[in-house]
Amino acid sequence: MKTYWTITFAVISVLFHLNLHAQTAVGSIKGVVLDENSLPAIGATVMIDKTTTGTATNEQGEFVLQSNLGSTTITVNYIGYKPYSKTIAVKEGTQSLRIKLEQDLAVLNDVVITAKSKVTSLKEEAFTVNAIDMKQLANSTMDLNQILNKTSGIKIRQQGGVGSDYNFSINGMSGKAVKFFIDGVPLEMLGKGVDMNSLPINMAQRVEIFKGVVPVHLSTDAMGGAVNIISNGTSKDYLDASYTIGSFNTHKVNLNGQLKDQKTGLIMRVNTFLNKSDNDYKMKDMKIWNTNTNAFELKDVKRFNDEYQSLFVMGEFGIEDKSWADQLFVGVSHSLFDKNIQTGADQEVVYGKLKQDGDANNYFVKYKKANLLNDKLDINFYTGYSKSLETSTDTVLRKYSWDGSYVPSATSELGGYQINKKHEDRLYSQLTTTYRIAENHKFTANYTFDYLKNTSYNTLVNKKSDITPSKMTKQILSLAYQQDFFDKRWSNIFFAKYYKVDLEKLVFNRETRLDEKVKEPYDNWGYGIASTFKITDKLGVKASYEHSYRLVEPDEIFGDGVSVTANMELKPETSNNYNLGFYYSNNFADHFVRAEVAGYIRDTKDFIYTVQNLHNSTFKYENLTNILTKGIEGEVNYQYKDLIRVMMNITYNYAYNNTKYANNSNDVVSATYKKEVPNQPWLFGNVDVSIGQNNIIQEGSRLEFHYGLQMTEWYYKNWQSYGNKRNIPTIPRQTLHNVGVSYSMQNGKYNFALDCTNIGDALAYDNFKLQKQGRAFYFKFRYALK
Amino acid sequence: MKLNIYKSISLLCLFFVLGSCSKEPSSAGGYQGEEDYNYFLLSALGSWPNTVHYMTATNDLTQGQMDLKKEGDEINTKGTYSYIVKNGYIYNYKNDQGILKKFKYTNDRLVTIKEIPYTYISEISSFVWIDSKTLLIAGTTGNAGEIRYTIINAEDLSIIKQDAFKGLTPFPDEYNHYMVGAITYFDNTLYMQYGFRDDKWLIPDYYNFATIDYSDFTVKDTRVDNRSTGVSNASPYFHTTFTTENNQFYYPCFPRVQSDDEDIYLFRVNQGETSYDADYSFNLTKLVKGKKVETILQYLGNNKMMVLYRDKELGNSYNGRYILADLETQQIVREFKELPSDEPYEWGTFVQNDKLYFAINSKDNNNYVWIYDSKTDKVTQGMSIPTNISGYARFDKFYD
Repeated sequence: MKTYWTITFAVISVLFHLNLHAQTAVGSIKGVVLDENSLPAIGATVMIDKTTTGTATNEQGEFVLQSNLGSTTITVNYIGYKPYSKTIAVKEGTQSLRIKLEQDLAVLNDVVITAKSKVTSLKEEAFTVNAIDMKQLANSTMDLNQILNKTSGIKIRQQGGVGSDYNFSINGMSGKAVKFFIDGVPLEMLGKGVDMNSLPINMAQRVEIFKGVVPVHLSTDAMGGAVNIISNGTSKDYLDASYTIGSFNTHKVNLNGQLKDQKTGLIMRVNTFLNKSDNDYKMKDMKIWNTNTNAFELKDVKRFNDEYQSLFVMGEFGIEDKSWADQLFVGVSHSLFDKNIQTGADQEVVYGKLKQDGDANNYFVKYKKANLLNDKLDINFYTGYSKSLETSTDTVLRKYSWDGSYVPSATSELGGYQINKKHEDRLYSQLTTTYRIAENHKFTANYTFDYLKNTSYNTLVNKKSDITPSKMTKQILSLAYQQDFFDKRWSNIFFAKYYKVDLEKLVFNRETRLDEKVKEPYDNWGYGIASTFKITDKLGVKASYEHSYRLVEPDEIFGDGVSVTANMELKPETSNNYNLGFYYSNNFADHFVRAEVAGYIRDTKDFIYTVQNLHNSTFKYENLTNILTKGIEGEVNYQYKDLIRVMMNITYNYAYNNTKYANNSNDVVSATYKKEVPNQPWLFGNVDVSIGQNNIIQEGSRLEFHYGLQMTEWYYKNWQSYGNKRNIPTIPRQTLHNVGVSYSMQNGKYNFALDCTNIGDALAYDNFKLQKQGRAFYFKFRYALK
Repeated sequence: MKLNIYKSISLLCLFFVLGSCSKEPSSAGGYQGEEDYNYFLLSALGSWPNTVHYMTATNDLTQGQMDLKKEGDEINTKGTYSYIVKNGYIYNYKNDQGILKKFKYTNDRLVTIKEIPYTYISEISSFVWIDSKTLLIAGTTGNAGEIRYTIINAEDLSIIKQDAFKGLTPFPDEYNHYMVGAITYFDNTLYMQYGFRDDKWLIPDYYNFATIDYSDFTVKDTRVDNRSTGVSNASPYFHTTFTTENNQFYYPCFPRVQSDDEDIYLFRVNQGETSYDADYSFNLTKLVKGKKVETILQYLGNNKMMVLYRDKELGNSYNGRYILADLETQQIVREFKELPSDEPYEWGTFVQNDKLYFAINSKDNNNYVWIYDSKTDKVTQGMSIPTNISGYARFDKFYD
């Protein structure tokens, strides 16, 4: 291991040294080009007039040009923006420029095809990332999960309708291995009412999904990947309001707006949404007891305990474009949710009164300043404090049937008979600094401090004041070094992450019969590399690797001394994640084509699960399972002018059990070693087609038709290698068709959309026999003032 | 370059075509099996949470092979494996669904014969057959505030009677939950072991014992036995109680969480007695020199009882050893040295016609049924059974 590091650092040092020598020059013009939102203009051309000298801006919008000394005029061109020219007196050394472009509304309609968007640029980064431009989907009635579920390598298995629990899987890894962020901040900070199911798509400018290898600015123990929602960061006034009404009494209201005083730079921003649905969709062939025949019979029934509502309000107040701050915001948010729960993981388990509700408040400060220390240093700081409460109510001694009837039961619906309250206080701070030590070489450092205090108790038995909370403090220091070569055709990012966790919990000691405080410090190193090489302007290859962790939590390691016993031997879950991908994009006259194909391997070890101690009906957490996942995914996008867009993707994901030995032995090879893991979709794909025409009926309008196909191939519920073949249950192939039409007027000011999901009313389930909704209709009106 | 695009698109289309051609497995064909079986085995495969239990069955344990690559039915989607077995049928309470089920294993498939809504107890903590068609199941309510019973007609699963046991000793200070242990039935009388616990599962230094009139369920006698703590694991997952040919019912005490520190005892009640036999006490932990006694006991007849314990000197796993002990002399009368060391799961042995049948999950790549004939004192190797698995959750006979 020491040799490995020695060689790695030696190579980095040599490459760095060579490049430093190459870039020493006089008469340098160095600058950054920003769009109207003060975001980097990527791929803008910067030319010295009357010469052939020019360059393109990088992903930070930066450029460097060499020029003769004296008066020089440079011109910046960026599609969709007015050309910018400036004459400067070039002297010896380096001169800095900051250029802000103005939009050219006359050519905006062509931008989509010809400009390399942020999304495309992200896809060409070294990390394996799905980046989705939400602007194109702004009129859709779908939620974020539904949109992400249509991208390659992503499989979201949802238990029911709006607001139901879901399992988000990236390249076969799911659960706690996947982390969610909004603008780089953990989504949990906003409360349980804000998740991928409830966040309106109009709040997001784009969504980035990092697969397996996660960049350092998303600093967390995300072992399998991360989803980062980028909110609207524009610096001008806007209002985006929408209302969606649909089947099952579904209503969604969303309002986002911003006011900016251009003179002072003061900004006020509001984001809010309300979701409500009865989710009373039809369940087919459910078992209902008939007292006359003394037997169960199958009937179609409506769900009756699945109402959901959530509300979110966030206000931000800040200032922009000052010498001391590009952005400084203070904000506060409040969220609440209220949901009834119809069924668990098995649809034959029916709940009639089970419910959850909660609220959360979040207070935060954001600060951002770029180009400090002679344009070398960028700083990004966030600190937030959130306080949340979730209440789970299980107090009805009844057993419900699918027809809504019930019989008295010896136990409550979940068996716990409780009103469980979970109070969480969380302080999350992160500081990200980027230092450009030379052209084509930069360091990024991120320090994250995450403190969580959890107080959970059953109000029917305890008071909050009687409970000593469990505490977890995570500190993560991440360092990355990026180097670019050959005019940025080849980029490498080396990174390392140091995790330090302090756990503290009060645990009942059976011998002393007292609660005792136990503590456990923990630390680990993760590391990785990401590299991309543009073979041609159109074709590129990228590869990445990360050795990553998912750290243990207090309940897992300490237990509770009562029903969950401690396991101090518990290790964090670890994974070695490998990605290799190719991309190709090109324009052929009015045709644009982009194709990507990527392969991945996830070698995960020590997955943590609860297991029952057979002798005394207690549980404990153990590192039990190793899984090796291999997959390949491909996606093709085609666009013809602004008329037709086609997207097709397919994912093949093969996961097999990599737990070699049975029963914690070291010599008995398990019968299921190297066998395909059951209950995992292994082949799934999507096709999306949209056809639209501008200026129909009236000038500035657009009519668009959409068609979507989602296919999930059948898969085995159990080990396919064992049991009588005719007895192995399968989850059948599912093919869902969605159609929609949207019409927008006055250049997107007024928008109307009508969607029909699952138009064939096919029986659909993400989990074994857990039915999802059939055919449903949604109508959306959106008002966007920009 | 255009060629590349067409290749990429073609490749994706090919994926879709291939996908649409992949064939879903058919429920037709496959191994047909037999209509009726005498014996069954539940094998647990895979590491948690991908553990699947498969049932296989046979009519002859002395030869042949159970081959999971060809036969067997997964049972997890149909119920738990907390099986009460009698007269060729399996009775199972799926408590999360609130359904009581009656299964038959036929033609290599577990088939539901009858099912009814049932929610009267939280789970089956103990059970006893009153006669060959009448089953009594007992358990607590969800908050364990009372102990309840249901008497079921095993033919059609109709409920004959159900109520809470009344007249049990009320909760002493500091305790607010009941635990149910072993139950047996002699001559219109039920004998029931029960105990108390608090919210943290702390238990007193004794257990309770009730004698109940079956005809009206009045408690005729209830007393404490402070020779041991805890109650037996009497749920259908385990086999820890038995009745001898002399109509003596034996039951153990498994102290719950403190079990590593406290010895496990075997006690008994004699037919016709008012309560337990205060003169009889058998320290099983001492019998195996302090090693860990597992939750399975089998009575072979002639006062001989099989005990399974784990011997840590053989390693942390695959260390299960079997012995025979005499209930009266309380001495080991035979060690089954012929058997490979076992990695026991829950219930891997049964007795029939003076023979003791073992399903041994050994380290070797060859697992077998082993048969001990008490008449000849010989151990023979029988049927080949699945290997390299987590364990045998249940190995039992369908008929007494």
